[in-house]
Amino acid sequence: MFSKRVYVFGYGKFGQALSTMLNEYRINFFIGSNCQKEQSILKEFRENSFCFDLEDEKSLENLEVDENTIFVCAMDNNHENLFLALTLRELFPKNYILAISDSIYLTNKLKMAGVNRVIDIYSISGNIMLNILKNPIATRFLQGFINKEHDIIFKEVKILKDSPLVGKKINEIDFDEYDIIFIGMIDEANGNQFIFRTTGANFEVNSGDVLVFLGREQNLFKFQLECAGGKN
Amino acid sequence: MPKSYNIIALFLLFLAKNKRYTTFKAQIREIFTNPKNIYKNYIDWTIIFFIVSSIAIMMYEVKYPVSPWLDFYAIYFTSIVFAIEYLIKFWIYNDIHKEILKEEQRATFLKIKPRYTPVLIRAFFKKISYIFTPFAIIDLLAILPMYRELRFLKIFILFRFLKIFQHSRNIHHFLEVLSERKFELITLLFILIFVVFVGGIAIYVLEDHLNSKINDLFDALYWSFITITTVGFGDIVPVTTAGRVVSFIIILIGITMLSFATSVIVSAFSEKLNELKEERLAEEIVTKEKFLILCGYSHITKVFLRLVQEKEKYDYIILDKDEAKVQEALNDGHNAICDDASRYEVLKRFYSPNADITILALTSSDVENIYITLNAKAVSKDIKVIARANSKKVFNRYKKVGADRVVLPNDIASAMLVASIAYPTTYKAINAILNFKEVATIDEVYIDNQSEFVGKTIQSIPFEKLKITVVGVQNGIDGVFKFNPKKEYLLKEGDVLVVLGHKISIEYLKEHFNLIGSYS
Repeated sequence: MFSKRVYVFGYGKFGQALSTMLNEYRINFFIGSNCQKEQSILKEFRENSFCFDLEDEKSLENLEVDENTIFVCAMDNNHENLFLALTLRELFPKNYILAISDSIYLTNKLKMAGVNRVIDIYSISGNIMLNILKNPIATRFLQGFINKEHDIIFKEVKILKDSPLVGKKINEIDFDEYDIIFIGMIDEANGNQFIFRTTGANFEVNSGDVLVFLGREQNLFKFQLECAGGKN
Repeated sequence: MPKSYNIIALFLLFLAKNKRYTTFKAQIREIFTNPKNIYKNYIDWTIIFFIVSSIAIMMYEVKYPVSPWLDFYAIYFTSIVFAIEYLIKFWIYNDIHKEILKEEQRATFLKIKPRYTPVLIRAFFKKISYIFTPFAIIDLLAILPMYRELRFLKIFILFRFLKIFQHSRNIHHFLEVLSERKFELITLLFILIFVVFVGGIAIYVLEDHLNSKINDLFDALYWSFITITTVGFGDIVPVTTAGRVVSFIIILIGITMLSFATSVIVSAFSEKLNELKEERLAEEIVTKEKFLILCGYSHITKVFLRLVQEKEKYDYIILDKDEAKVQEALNDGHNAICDDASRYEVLKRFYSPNADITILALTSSDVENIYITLNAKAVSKDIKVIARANSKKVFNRYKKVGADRVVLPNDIASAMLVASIAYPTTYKAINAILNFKEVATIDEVYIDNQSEFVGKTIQSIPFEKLKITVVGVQNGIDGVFKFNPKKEYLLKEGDVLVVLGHKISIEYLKEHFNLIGSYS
């Protein structure tokens, strides 16, 4: 289970979709609502909810925050969302902040406000639609990351010290045995860059590397169990 | 019923029941009458060419001798072509056989004896009425120069020019605009005639015996007309003070009327201009083999179009019922039409049975998008629909009405956000693929009957050498998608390979093996 604490600000259209998704992935999260506007969600989420006031920093300072805490600015109102991002960055300079955006202009503003990652709702959807048009068959399995119940999914596997793969070259490993496809990896030794298999690089697998696969859930878990080492 | 009528009726009945004949006639009618039909364009341009070339030769012939074959071409060949065209138009004007069939069905239903004679006479007169339509008269007169005996009537050459009216859409549009202002223009014409007469009579009365140029009423009316139209040849001029005063008044009225007529026509044109532009846009897009109809100029539409312009080239048109949004789209440089995509007739207008049409229902309202989806499927099941759903709750409703793909922007963004929190490495991979990064290009390769891949195993194709991963293959026979196919998988005609590789590798694969993308 994901152990980091996630604070989601806003329970509008996006906040609701996000909370459903976070629940599906069993991520421990707290949903925050504007003290004056969205009182109803406090009832729905009970102990996993909090209330904040954008104009009163104390309501944010009182949150239980450690260095791993992640903030998600998901308010429907763009102005409020930007103001919230600015406030959070000021109060918690080292924490990871994510925010939603609906335009390239807002994305730039949010980045200027110190947001680490901005998710542009319409840009992603536009990309998905273009993918559907361009690669109608391929897009079906790309949706595996949206729908958890999808047949073929993406999965990342972290290689631990006692993994039988440690010290092996990527090309030496037979992934076909598990009926999974190796997409790429994060090589710790190479500055945490994601390297796609398509580059043809034949890296040595080391502990701490993160490998990304595409396949059926049971096959991916079998691989993880047998090859990742320890408890993944 | 006389025997001859009986034979004709039976023959027509035979034609009505002959599917080959009725289909053939319908096709010919479609070609000659449907402005959207691509062959109509070819026919129009060919006829225009014959008209212009024959007139040019005839004009040249007035002063200089031309070679016999040119003479034959201008007089006989073109006339034969025009005659065939005339006969075809006459043939397709109405369907007598349909009337006869209707009568037969009526008689069978009522269990009475069919009465073919009145039906035949009615249908015959309707057919004959074609001959008296203005365009048919022009057509007939344009053929006349073929007869040597009538060639002294060189004026018939002009009728060939008039024939262009039928084949030039611009002239059609001009006539349409004029017909929309029929009332104003006819009123002006009557005022003009009235003033010409009043002026003519006035000058005739005032300058009779005083002006040597005005010998009769026709001269006076001629002067009045030339003056009121502000042409003023100067061959007849008033010589008395009273006559000059009449001139002042007529010139003033003339200028006023001309200005009025001009403003009426200009305002009609400006009103019609947008309509004409939209009509042209619609007709243009329908001629494409593949095109997109984007319903709603929303935020997601703008983003999608930005991506399309950056990464892919698609022919598209935007439909929005909000005039302000259409204007915005036009200002942004897109082809947009102000119309309601949830109306059957609107989408039907863009339907072409031979085109690969995809509709993107992108309005911000689920109600609208579902209606558009339903409407598109009602026009044709072959139209693909990608719909934007604003809430997961309505997802199944989109599927029920036949949407091929449903995109939930909030859910997709949520999934990406969750992936970036919980699976940051996967997020990087997916993000690169979705954003068409060159290093992570996903493509679909179609194996057609020309492909040298047919009958080969995946292993025997240098995918590994090209650093390409075969993610899956869609079977060309049953359409089943096989994920991560075995190396021994035998490729067949119709299979679609889904591959992941560097853009350079995939492009090389396609070029080297002469392959095509599945959407190409």
